Amino acid sequence: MPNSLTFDDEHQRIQFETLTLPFTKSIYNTALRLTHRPEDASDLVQETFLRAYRTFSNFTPGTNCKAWLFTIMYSIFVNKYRKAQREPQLVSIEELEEKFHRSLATTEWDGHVARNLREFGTKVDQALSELPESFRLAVLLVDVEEMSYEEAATVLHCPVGTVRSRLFRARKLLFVELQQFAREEGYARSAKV
Amino acid sequence: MAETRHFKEEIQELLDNRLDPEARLEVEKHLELCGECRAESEALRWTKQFSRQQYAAEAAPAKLEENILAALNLDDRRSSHRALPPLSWWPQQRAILAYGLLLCVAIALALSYFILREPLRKSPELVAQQELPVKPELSPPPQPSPESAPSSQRSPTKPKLSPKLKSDAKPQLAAKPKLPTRPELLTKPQLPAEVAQDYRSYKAGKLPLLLQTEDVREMEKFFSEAGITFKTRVFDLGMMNYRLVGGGVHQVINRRSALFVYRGKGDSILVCQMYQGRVTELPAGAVRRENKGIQFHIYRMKGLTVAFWQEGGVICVLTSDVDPEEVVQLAFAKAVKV
Repeated sequence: MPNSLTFDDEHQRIQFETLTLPFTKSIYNTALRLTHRPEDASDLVQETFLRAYRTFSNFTPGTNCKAWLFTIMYSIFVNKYRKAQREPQLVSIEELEEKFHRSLATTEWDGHVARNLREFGTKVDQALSELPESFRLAVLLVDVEEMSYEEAATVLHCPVGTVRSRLFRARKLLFVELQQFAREEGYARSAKV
Repeated sequence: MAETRHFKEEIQELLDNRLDPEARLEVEKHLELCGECRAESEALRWTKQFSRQQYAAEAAPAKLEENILAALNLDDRRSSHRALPPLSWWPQQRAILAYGLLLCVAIALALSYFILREPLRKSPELVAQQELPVKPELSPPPQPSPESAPSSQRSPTKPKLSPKLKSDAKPQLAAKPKLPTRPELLTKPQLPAEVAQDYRSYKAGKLPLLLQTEDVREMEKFFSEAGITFKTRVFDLGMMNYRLVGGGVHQVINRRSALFVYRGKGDSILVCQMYQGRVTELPAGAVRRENKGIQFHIYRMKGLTVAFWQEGGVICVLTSDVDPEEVVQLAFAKAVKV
């Protein structure tokens, strides 16, 4: 900490570090899954903390600091890091339901599948990466970061109902992708076919 | 027989624990009977659990936190050239402004004193009437005159100062407005109000606790590690039905203070602060109580009771809106003569 800081500045700095630094890992994880590049993710995280520090007076003590940081991070990502990427084509809800139920009916899966899939690490990560960004974020915020729908809606600047429907579709898409992967790798048996 | 309605969104709401007990019961009952919905529910539960485990935070790069801190340091250095936000600006400048104001008052008093004196020099009659002192060298030297005329008939140009007048001169001079003496300058009139404000800020949720703990030792360790240079004594008030909820490094009159908070019956709040100082800095207006040879200075600030006492070089202060006597008794119970 620079010596030139006054008591007030120093107090604010201590307060900021105490409240925000515990979320570094979580912010980095989501940043990495958004940018797909560790260097970009590190830069995005640094920029997030810097902006948060500069606007720390806007943070209301007692409110959710993690959601506040994620909101800043997502805003920076959207404005600066998101490239004109080709989003996967969205399937209709009817088509998704059909795929999901076909996958459900034709695959035998159990806890062993999950354990085996984890051995594949980055390959399994691909299933998440292939989800449309908005779906991926819904999974990351609600399932991984354990945020409520309301907190996720704040981060994503969208209504709670949108989070609900994105999550609904994201989980089903992810299930289909993971089962497909498990079948291809021989970790799940085709059944009832 | 009517076709069974399958649940869709309800399954997700159940999975995310967002259903009220009644709806939850209904969905669970349905899942027992409907194999298709049960399979869907299990698949989604599996996916959620898998995501949580598979995509949870990996270790961040080793130097990431270090880089963040370096970026913050750089920003701190740069921000010293920027305008400071009002809240951080005010406490630093307050003392300077106070001294500046005192200096202005002193100059104004000195000027008014000399301005008032000026016409008196030109009107010796008035001087005589008012028995105000006139410096001998400024007045014409008194002529010895055996037949002393009544003062009203004296020549206005040749005032005579009686020995009595001369002897009265000193008290008159001494009666001029006093400049603040050193001990008065050292008192901090805002101190109790500042401490009371901290209590209100905490109660309003504007003063977050950096560490939330019920462990007094952990709290003391935190203060020591957070750079509080004096030894803190975080009280165990369990016997008085107050439990520690946490604390943080704060400041009182621009000095670092260890602030910790207790919650009592009915969610009552008790805020304690410790900082380096002397009770001589406290302003007048305190009710003084003594216990175990320790002087307690108690102020009432708009419904709050603020009790100060000295322990070595440290001032301890308790603030609460509970019954004033309860605050005093808590202070009595925990104060230690050093």
